[in-house]
Amino acid sequence: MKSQNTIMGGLVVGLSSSYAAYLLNGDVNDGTFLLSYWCIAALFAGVHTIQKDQFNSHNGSGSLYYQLTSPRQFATVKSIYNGLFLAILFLFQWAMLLFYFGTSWTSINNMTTMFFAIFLIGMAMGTSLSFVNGIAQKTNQPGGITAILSFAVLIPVLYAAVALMKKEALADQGQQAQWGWLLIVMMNVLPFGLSNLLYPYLWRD
Amino acid sequence: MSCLLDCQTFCILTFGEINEMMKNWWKFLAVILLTYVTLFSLLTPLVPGGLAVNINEIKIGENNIEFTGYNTHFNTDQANLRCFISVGQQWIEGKVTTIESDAKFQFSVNLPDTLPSTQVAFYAYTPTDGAVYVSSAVGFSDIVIDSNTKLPDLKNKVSNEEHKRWGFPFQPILFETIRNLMFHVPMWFSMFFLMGISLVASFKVLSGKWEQDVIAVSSAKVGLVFCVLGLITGSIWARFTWGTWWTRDPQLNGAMIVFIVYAAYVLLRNSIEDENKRARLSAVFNVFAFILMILLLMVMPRMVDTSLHPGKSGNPAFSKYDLDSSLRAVFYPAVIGWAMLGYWIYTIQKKLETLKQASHVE
Repeated sequence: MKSQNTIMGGLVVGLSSSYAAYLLNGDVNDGTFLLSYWCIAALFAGVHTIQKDQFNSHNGSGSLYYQLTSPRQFATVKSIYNGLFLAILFLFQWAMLLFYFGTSWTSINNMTTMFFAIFLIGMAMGTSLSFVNGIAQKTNQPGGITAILSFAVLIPVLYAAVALMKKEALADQGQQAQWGWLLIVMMNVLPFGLSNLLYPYLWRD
Repeated sequence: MSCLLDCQTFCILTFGEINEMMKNWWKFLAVILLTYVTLFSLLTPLVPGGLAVNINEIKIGENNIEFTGYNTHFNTDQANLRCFISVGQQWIEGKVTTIESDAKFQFSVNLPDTLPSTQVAFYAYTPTDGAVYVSSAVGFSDIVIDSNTKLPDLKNKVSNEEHKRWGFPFQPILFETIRNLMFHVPMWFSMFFLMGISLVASFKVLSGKWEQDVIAVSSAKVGLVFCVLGLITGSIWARFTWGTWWTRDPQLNGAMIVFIVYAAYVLLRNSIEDENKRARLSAVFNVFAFILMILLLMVMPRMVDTSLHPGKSGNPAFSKYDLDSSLRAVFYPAVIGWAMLGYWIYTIQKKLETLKQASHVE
């Protein structure tokens, strides 16, 4: 089972990275290459963080939480915590990228929208993966299922993230970003809303 | 007596079969509709149209131009063939010099030194075909453009009707591939229909009706097949019209993401053994998948300005082409027919899933 999880996890990261490179048009020049690098690092960080932060912790403390609160509140707290954690982590990764490679490769139009885009990407990845993880933890193979479902929910997040970052960080004039904003907001709202609405059904037992 | 009994048995059996057939009337309707759609979409000719002219630049004085049409009757109706150049809203008549075939002829036209507009189109007219034209970007050699220029009126004006024959619209770039409209677009309608059934069933599962799970999974699986068919037919169409099997288009990427999300739904189900748990977990994911599908296929592509896809980013949808309703006459039955076929396959799949669950066969 462990090796299967490892393979599936590797598959997720590999395929998602390839897809990120594909969406970035495959140009490995300074800006796009470093942006790809940031996306891949964000993916690793996101998947790894959520894998570690399982709804049912191994020592059984998860069941203790359910004694104190409802599934809805638990899902809300997990989504917000993971989302904020990843948002801060992604901002930190971005700062590190600028620290190591300087700012010459970027062309940021507006620092506020740039900051906001990274924040929303982090939140979207956190809430989406928490949603998926909440489902996967009720199965017999949480690792494998998380990997399978993560791939499905990460693709839309990645798709929006790449469009937004190309627009905000590289000032790509040809890049349309309105749909990217809509998609990233929806990838925040949708998993968060569905977690709240549907987890009481999911976590009945 | 024996004969009477046989006759009675025969009647009971026959009426029983007829009664059974009557219950499945919609299946017969689906077959009839799809037969009609297949025949008409493949056999209906395109209306006549202008394909090309062999000129890149027009000059003062005599210009010799070769006009190529499609499904035209230049040779058959040569006595009535007339040709024109439209310049803005004004017309100059040319003289037919040689007719090579029904699809090709040469004409010459004398142009003055001043024209009223840079918008030039080449027209050919026969009573059979109506007016067919090629709107081509041409250069102007020594010709002065003055919007106040008044060209002499035509002696014998012709009707500007494009065609009088029944047929699919002649559209540059699309040409004969316009027939794929009857196969590609209905696949997505059918997919939405089936995924909608799946969504409703998932809500019922979440409200405690576990038996609805078989409906949710059966319709989602068949919907996924239609999604694949939509992607394949779209890809083939793209190859012939855009010159590539796949392009970086939000509509296409959205469709691929929808496929991945629903494939994950099926994989999720296959990974859970407990029936109740499987029903609940997959129902939750199904709700997510459906909303994401609407967002990716219905909302997002309309926000993009750079899409090649018809109906998106200012590209006209087919309703604008379809002034003579010839497409509608086949398209609407196609949508209904394919959706009914999808529903039919879903009922079979549902029986299969029920048997699987009953026998615990994975």
